[in-house]
Amino acid sequence: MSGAAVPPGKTGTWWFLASEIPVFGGLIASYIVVRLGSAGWGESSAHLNFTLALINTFLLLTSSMTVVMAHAAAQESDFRRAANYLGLTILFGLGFLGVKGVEYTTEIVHGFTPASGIFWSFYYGMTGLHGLHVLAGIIVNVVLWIGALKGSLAQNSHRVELAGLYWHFVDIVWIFLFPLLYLA
Amino acid sequence: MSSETSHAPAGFWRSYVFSTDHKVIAKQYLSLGLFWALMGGATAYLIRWQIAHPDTEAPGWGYIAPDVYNALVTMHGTIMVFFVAMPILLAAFGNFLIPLMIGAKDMAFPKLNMLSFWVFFLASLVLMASFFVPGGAAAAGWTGYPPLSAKMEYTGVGWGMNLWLLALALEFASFLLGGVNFLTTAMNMRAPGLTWFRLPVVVWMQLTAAVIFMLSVGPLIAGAVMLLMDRLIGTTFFLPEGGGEPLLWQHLFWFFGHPEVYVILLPGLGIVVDVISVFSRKPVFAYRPIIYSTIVAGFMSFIVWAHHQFISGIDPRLAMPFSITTIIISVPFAFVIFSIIATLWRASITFSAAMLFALGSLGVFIFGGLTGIVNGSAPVDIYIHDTYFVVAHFHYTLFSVVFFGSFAGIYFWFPKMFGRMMNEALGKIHFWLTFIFFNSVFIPMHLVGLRGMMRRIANPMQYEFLKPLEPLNQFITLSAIVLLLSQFFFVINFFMSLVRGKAAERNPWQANTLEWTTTSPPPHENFSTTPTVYRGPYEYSSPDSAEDWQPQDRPLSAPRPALR
Amino acid sequence: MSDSHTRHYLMIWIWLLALVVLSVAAASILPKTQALVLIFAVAVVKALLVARNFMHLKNERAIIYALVLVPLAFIIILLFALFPDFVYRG
Repeated sequence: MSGAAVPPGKTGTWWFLASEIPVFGGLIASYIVVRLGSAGWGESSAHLNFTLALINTFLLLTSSMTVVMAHAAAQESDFRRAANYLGLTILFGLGFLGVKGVEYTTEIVHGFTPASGIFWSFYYGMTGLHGLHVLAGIIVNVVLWIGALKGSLAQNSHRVELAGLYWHFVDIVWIFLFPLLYLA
Repeated sequence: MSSETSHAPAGFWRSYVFSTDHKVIAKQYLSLGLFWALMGGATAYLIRWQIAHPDTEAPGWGYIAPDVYNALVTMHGTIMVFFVAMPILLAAFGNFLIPLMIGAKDMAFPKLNMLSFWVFFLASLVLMASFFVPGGAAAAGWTGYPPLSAKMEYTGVGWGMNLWLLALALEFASFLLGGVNFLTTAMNMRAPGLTWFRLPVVVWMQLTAAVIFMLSVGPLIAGAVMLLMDRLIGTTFFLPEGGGEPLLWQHLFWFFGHPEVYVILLPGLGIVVDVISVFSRKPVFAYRPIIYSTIVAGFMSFIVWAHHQFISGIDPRLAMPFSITTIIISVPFAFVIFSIIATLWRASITFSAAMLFALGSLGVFIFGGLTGIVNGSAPVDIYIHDTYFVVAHFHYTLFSVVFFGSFAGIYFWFPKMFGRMMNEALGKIHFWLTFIFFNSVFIPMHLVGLRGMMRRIANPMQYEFLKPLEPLNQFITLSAIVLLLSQFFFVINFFMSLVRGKAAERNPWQANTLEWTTTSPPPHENFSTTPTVYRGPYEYSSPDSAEDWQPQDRPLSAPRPALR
Repeated sequence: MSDSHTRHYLMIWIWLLALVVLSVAAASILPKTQALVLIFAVAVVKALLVARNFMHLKNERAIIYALVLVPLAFIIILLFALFPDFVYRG
């Protein structure tokens, strides 16, 4: 196994993502089997706000594009552009969390709390854990965005790619959560 | 990779507390692990006292109420698995050995490494705190099955259980970060000439353990989040009254829980292999097949988990496939064991303290592996599940690596870690006492289990049919107390040697691997120049050489003659 | 910024949005089972598009692919092993 090795930061990030796959995988597998084994979930999921979730899907997919644009800009040392794309990514991420907050509030006000039964347990559990991951990603992106603005990102420009990898992972989890919760 | 390349003396805090040097971090993990070993031993003492002399006052402690007993058995398991075995075998030895054995100056991510330790330290604080909150420490077994664990009113334990979950989550995070470091370091930072198949077995074992951990812990993290939500915000993942499934937790727990025992086993087994090779002055027999077997066993470890659930109410159709996989997984491990025995065959053996512990580990593991096959067969397990037969089985397999393997490693690498030699005589006394009294605790325990004594009950004597077992239980308890006291020989030796041990040379054991080429202890950044590797790690008693060892970085002086 | 990169990422984004529209349409038009099959197939395709193009998996060495595929394989094993206990209950 000789030749250009994968840089350590990328190797480390992919190992981290490899460990995150079973976290969401375990939760999603649990959801799938418990749901397939029980009746009446379609009734519960009808109370979810499909439109808001669709907006969130758009926001995350677009933010995946903006973060990889930021990476491409950073690779060409265009840190002004990288900062702009990172800023967009952060905005979309915050938008996602905001929409999620609106969803949760509406649902709770209508009496659909985490204690409302097994479907809602999974709904809050899965989207909540995912939301925490989105928040963590936003924080990382903010740190990089500040670095891009201040010019210090130049020494560690590869970190934009690594943060992007994490962000794409979070996006991919949503790609599956959306149909699992809102379309099925 | 930033590191303190300046050689200006760093202050006390940077050198010993907030250090990014993998050797310091390893010692931090070792110290904290040994501290928790004392706590785990204390819980063992109290558990054994209560079983042998129910509802009497334990000397040095007092009366043990039944709910306190439940907390003791829970915390004993939690502490030993997550706060003793993992930090000592995986974190301490892995951190210390991997960079040295691959000829690197530190881990790939030194600051992340430091963070890993402090997250683990935080986990320790949280776990310690759980003893002191109202309601006491977690008491639903180290396996934390709901519904018992999901509602505070079932155990009377409130924050103790929540803190338990939090401590575990932090511990998992710490080891995930550590795993990222171990794997990236080994993939990217091996010295020139150090191909994968020139790595010592212990490094392969550490890496396989890290991979197993990284890929198996996820579902339990999900489960822990779900259980915490059930406890705190009213979800019903595991509560039947809300449509939940208690059995789901079991699957999520054991999907991780079984691979976890191999995460603990493999580093210890690796230590045993390498120590035996050095003190046999022989190459490890079947080095590559051992590696392949280990990887196969690693894969298989993911498909045996439901053997912990045979009588939990799982679909009976799951019993046969999981029995089959469980029995098959003994094959690669048996291969490794036979290879170790073959390494010893016709070897010129030195019975140092480290070697005694390695041999003891081997014997104890074989015994535990055999009872594992017994347990793994579902029809038999129906009778022995939740009895002390299982407890005896896993103490054999776990002790073999956590106790005997760790001690082999400590006696062996202490000179490299601390620059001093341990006292061999005390080490041998420590070994014989530990070996004899370990067996006198756990061999009778098989009998106790077969006669039907169940796990996790505070007073077995409340059952008529168990009363005849009281003398045997008392014998076990007495042996356990002597076993625990015997560890003082180690404690005394350890601290005495730290202060007054004979100064260690670079390579007191005349071993081949790279850590022995540098000073004892190694300096910051380990090697004055990056070594170049020309050989595998096991060129002992080579016919091509007058000496019975060849360090990995010694150049080949002439083309190797063909093997006879 | 390199135009080919930009164009490529934009194209992938357009595809992703189109696939979302397709899923939503399927959910309202097709019968339940067919809709579900299509929706989850589309989800897999979307995930692959993001992974191969945005995460550059298609340019990475085999070991990185393994880091994705192996954990996925184990989770799929977990999923199917859970069926008897939760889906096929009597």
